[in-house]
Amino acid sequence: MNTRDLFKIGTSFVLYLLLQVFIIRNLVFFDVAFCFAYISIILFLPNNTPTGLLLLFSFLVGLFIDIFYNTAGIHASACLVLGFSRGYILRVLFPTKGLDAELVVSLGGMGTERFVRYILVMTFLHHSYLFFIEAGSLNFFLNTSLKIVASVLFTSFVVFLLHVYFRSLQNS
Amino acid sequence: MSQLLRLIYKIRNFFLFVFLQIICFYLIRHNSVYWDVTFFNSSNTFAAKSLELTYNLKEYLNLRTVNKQLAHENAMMRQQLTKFQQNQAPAGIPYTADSAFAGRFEFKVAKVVGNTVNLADNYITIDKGRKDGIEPGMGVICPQGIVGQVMSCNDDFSIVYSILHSKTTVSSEVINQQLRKENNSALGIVKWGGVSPSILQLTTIDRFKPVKKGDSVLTSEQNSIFPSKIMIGRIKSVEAGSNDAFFNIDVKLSTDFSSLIYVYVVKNKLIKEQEKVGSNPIE
Repeated sequence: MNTRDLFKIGTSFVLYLLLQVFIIRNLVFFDVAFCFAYISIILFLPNNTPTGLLLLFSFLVGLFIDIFYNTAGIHASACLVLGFSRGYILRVLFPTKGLDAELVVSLGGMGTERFVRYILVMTFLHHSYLFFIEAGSLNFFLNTSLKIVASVLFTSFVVFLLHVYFRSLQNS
Repeated sequence: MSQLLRLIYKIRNFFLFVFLQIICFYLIRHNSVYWDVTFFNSSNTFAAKSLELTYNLKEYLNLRTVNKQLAHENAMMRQQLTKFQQNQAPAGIPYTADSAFAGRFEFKVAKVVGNTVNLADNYITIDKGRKDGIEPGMGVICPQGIVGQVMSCNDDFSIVYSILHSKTTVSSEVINQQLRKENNSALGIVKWGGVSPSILQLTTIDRFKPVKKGDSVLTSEQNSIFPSKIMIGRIKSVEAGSNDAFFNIDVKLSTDFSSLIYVYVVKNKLIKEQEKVGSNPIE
């Protein structure tokens, strides 16, 4: 963690939150496909971020989103789950035998296939947790599942595109 | 003991996770408690301000739909208003229109998709055609006043003779205080002279009628295409040569053709009967 990393994290935090609150919030397809592209903030944190910091940061991101979505705590909770399981999922998906710190969480560092797999798994985790907590019960299981599947596809697509776009902006 | 502490230190992140989750669930459970309602939702001033910003943008994008809804609502109200007006006879005359006659006009909303104002004969294209029950000969009006008459239709579109067309004529009536007091009426025919797209000519009003500059010109009761009392314009100048039987009247058109968007097509449900009785009086 150096100053440059912190600056990068801060920028992505502001950028994705603004995008989510002002634009993506209004994109809902057929009342089932929602997009929560703000999870990119947590997804693409540097791999060597201390877990404690990661958790606090996730909590903060979720809380901010909650304020705008009128869902006190739900997003914060889902983000916490995401932040907590991130390390384990990275370790399971990319077993590097103790070379954790060297894995760069980005398209360039992972290769397209593994990168897409990572996004899909994380998005699925976040959305299934989020929608089931939001539903509060298993009563609307089918409806909730439909929402999850549609939203996972939508969010993953947007997350991927935004990542590629911001990377090309950075390079140019 | 030190081993236990080391274990706790090792899973400290898990404790942090659980602690934060507890806070989250506290918030979820107590979503209705006052302090977090005001802070953790969008009634929080900052959040509300920024959401208002997006809403304003959205409102702007939705103007199109809102316009459409309003136009439809207006068409409905106009229909009711005409029916109501048709039912009312001038005071003192024992006349009531039957409901078929009073409700003979039907209004349909259409959008202008093409429009000329500068040619010698001007036409308007609207986005409703036979499918929506529009037929050649129907009248077309807009909120500001008269527009024209349908010339031809295909399934989805119609061409309308604008009033700015050499062949369009409208039976009309001048209204002012003096005429009303004398229980008199000044009927005439409005036609476009072809010069300026805002000036029409009103003819066949005889020179003993008290008409003057500023009087309103409306559609007359003797009109099978338009409902009565639709605004055409205001008199701009009145002239009479010494030997003429009629005034030469210039009328300032009330409709602004260059800003036409939504128009109402007027259908007279009784027009066939009305024409039949006029053309075959013996039958």
